[in-house]
Amino acid sequence: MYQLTGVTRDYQKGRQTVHALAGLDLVIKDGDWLAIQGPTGHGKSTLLQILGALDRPTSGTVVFGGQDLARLRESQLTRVRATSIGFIFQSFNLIPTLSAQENVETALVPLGVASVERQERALRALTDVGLGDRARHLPSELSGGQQQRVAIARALVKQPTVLLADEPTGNLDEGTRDELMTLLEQPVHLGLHADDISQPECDHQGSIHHHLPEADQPGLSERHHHRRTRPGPGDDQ
Amino acid sequence: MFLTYLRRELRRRMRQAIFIALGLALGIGLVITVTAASSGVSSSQGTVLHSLYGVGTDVTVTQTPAAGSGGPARFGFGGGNSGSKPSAGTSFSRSVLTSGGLGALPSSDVTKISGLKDVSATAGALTLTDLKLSGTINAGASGGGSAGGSASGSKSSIKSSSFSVTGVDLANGALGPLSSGTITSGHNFSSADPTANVAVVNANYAKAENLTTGSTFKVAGTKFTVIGIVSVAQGSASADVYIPLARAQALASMKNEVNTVYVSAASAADISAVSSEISTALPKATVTTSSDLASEVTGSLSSASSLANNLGKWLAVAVLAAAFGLASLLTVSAVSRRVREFGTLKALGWRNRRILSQIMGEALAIGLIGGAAGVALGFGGAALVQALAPPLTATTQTSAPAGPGGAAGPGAGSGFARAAQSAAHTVSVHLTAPVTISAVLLAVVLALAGGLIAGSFGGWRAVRLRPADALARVV
Repeated sequence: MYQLTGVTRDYQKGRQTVHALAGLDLVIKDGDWLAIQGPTGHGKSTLLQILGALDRPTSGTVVFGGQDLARLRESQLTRVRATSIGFIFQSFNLIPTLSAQENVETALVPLGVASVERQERALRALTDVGLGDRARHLPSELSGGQQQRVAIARALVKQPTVLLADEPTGNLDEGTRDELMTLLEQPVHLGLHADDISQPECDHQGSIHHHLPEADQPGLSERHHHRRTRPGPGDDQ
Repeated sequence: MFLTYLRRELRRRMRQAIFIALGLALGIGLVITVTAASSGVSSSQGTVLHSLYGVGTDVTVTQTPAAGSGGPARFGFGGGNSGSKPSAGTSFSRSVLTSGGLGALPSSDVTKISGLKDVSATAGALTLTDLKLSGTINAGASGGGSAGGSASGSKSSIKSSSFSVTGVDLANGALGPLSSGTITSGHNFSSADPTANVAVVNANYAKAENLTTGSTFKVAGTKFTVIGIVSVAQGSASADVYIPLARAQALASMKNEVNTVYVSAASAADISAVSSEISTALPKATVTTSSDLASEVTGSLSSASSLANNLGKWLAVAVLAAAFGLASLLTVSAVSRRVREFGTLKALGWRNRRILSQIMGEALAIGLIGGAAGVALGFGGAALVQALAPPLTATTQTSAPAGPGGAAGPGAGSGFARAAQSAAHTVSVHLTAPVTISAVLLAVVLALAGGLIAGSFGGWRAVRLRPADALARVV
């Protein structure tokens, strides 16, 4: 699905240039579940932003869905985000003035979905994450776990090609965390095709190291889990 | 989604939104009030001019008097010559019609003017004062023909009284000083009256002198019969008595002369053309158009006018500019506080255009609310101005006072001069402050402009936002 070649991202921080990514090569296949780990400030967010078409690399290519995201104009990137990419953020990032259902609808607005259909699909997505009865609640009336579930519904309602989650359970307590990971790992309950998200059992583990130019900086290490795809029960729900 | 999001955001920011709307309302309300007061003042000025010169008069022609001319006002005593010394103990009573500070124009000039292109009507008139002196001459008073009196020794006891008389051109009654009044009793002059000793009397003067239709009184020693009472606008300048022009000419010894010509132009656009044509035709005459008069008007009306136009306008503009600035600042700060929100929407694939229209919509909604409140405030302010404004006065000098020439009369010089001074007309009007449709439309435009400006500033701030920056955590 993704093919990154020689991706570099530099930032200007005051008078210094920060090399967040330096010459990264990465391939992510369809159905893969990729977890990126590493200390903060070492390029995780940067990589996520580039994968999510939120940012463009300083150099290199990012092939996704047959297009090089590095070469696209801002408006084209916006289109890619609208149709193909689902985001889940650590701090939920729900619109505080809109209800749960309306928040889910915001994902469908750029796709020009008619309002009746939009409301239906949003409600269904909320029901799938178990919040059908909280559709009219504002984020301030929902617990952290519930807010993140709304965010998940929002990310998935448009049936994206890829789901990007930036520490999705970082702001949640342990119990809720488990609950949510279970949710993310149950494609059936999320109404997805089994091909889109793999089962979490890891049967192969590899790691990719890439070196940052400064020798004293710890490298970003990625554990690349290869998941086997198998159809789940009742996947035609 | 658009309206829902808009409504919810305004509700979240309600206090700030109300604050901005109030600021706009204040500015817009002030603009409307000042506009209303301004137009009220202009129409008051129009009323003043109409009451001074009659409806339909666009140009007036007068002449400054040459020294020693201008309605000879000779008081003859004893043998009727000025200069002969009256004997002590003589009592006298004389009344004359004087032309005051206005010079004489031959009637032929009136004809000349009416023949000019673009002139639709002319009417000549004699604006005069009937001055009556009566009393006794004491011994030892120095006589002489000098005005100003060189009274030495004992003063003579002389009473003076006067009233204003205007001789009107009966053929052109629609123009001129009588045209702005309404007949409340009796009737106006008919064409049969030019040589008759008939008078139409001002209602106020009639009341003061106890005159009714059919009463008789004296003008310059000649008996006149009242045929009608005319009522003129409160305080407007007008004569006490109107008589036919021919009679006035005869009694003032100004045969075939007038001292004011009222001219009406074919259309408002022709007024300046007419004015220059008359100046060319009559080089020595003073030609005054209604706009010249407007600038000569003094008194509280003209102060109100400059107040409304200068201070008022600038104040309104300043408040409005402040309101716009405030709205813009607050909108930008509100957008800054929603950085994360907009970043998220961009991450979800919302285009800049869409986010911009959301921000614009919010700003315009606030603008319209402010505009509506502003219109209400404007109406209130205008009503307040109308209720609280004291009656405004306007005074104009019809011509330069030059004093009567050739006045004689012992010790009576100064009093006489005062009485025969050229007319200074004072008119009192009540200020209205009408709010017009165009003022309301102006308010709507201003409200939308305020919204657009504020929205643009906010939108610019939002568009510049990179989603990556908006969502960045502390690195």
